[in-house]
Amino acid sequence: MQPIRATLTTMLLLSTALLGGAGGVARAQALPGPTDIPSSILLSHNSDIDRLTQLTHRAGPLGVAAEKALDLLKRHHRREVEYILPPLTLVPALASGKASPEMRWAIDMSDKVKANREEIFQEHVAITEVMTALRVEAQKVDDLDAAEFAEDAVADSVADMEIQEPTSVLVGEILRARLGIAK
Amino acid sequence: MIGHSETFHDRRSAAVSRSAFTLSLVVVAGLMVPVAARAQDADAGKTVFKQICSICHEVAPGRNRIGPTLFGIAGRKSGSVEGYNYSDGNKGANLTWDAATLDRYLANPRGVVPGTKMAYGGLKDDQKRRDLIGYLGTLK
Repeated sequence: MQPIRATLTTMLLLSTALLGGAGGVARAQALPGPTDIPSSILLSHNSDIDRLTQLTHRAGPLGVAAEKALDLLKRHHRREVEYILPPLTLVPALASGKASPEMRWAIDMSDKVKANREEIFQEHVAITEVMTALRVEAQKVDDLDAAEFAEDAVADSVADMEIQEPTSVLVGEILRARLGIAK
Repeated sequence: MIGHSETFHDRRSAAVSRSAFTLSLVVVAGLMVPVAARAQDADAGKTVFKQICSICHEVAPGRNRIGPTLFGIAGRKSGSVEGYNYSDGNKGANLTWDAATLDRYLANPRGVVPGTKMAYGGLKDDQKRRDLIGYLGTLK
């Protein structure tokens, strides 16, 4: 999952940078809004949900463990889509040195990530627990696909904590600094 | 008739007392069994490691994954494995991973090292924790 996500993210950043050369007016019209999320991450989310949904069809405790994991992952994705990921759509523009008042919506979201950091962390703890349980059941029946999914999901969860969530916070900080908005 | 009844009750009371005494012995013996089983069992700890920890950790030297390698953890300073990118919380914890510290940390990681990025709620089962620490002590 990680390499796919990284590749898609790079492609997204490159295409955004290329499109950014089209002119100021076009850039302003193409600015992402508060309901947008990076398409690479949306793709990754959908892929994870599809794979996990398939695992819920496995017989016995493995299927049950997959159902628990699916419920939790969907909940986490809803939170990400609500306020963690939208600020990330502005990263390419911010990396190019831009900032505009139309981006202010991201500040509130960014602040919410910061305020809910511990709650979000506890959700990652819960993800680790359900994925560990899924892996245990997978190993009991030699289901390598399910075990690998669980391991990848935990790695993704850590990547969220190490990169995604702090970046979302940074977007708010950068916008504040560039737009001259006090805390 | 009454005398016969009293004798019967006496016998029954004595039987009940004997049963209660026997039951007490069984309960006491039952309580002692877990006490005897509280010693560390490194083999059982290895199973705990495989089930819970191995999703993030390796035990081979130099092999960091999501978490740092646990090889040589006993007696090691916190935040000191080369090549692993620790959280600020772990870097600044200044702990030595002896049995007592590991016991507290494994029971409640975030409580002992605030800011740790180890997304694990803690191993609440005392015996499993002891066993795991026993196993971790063999990794050298």
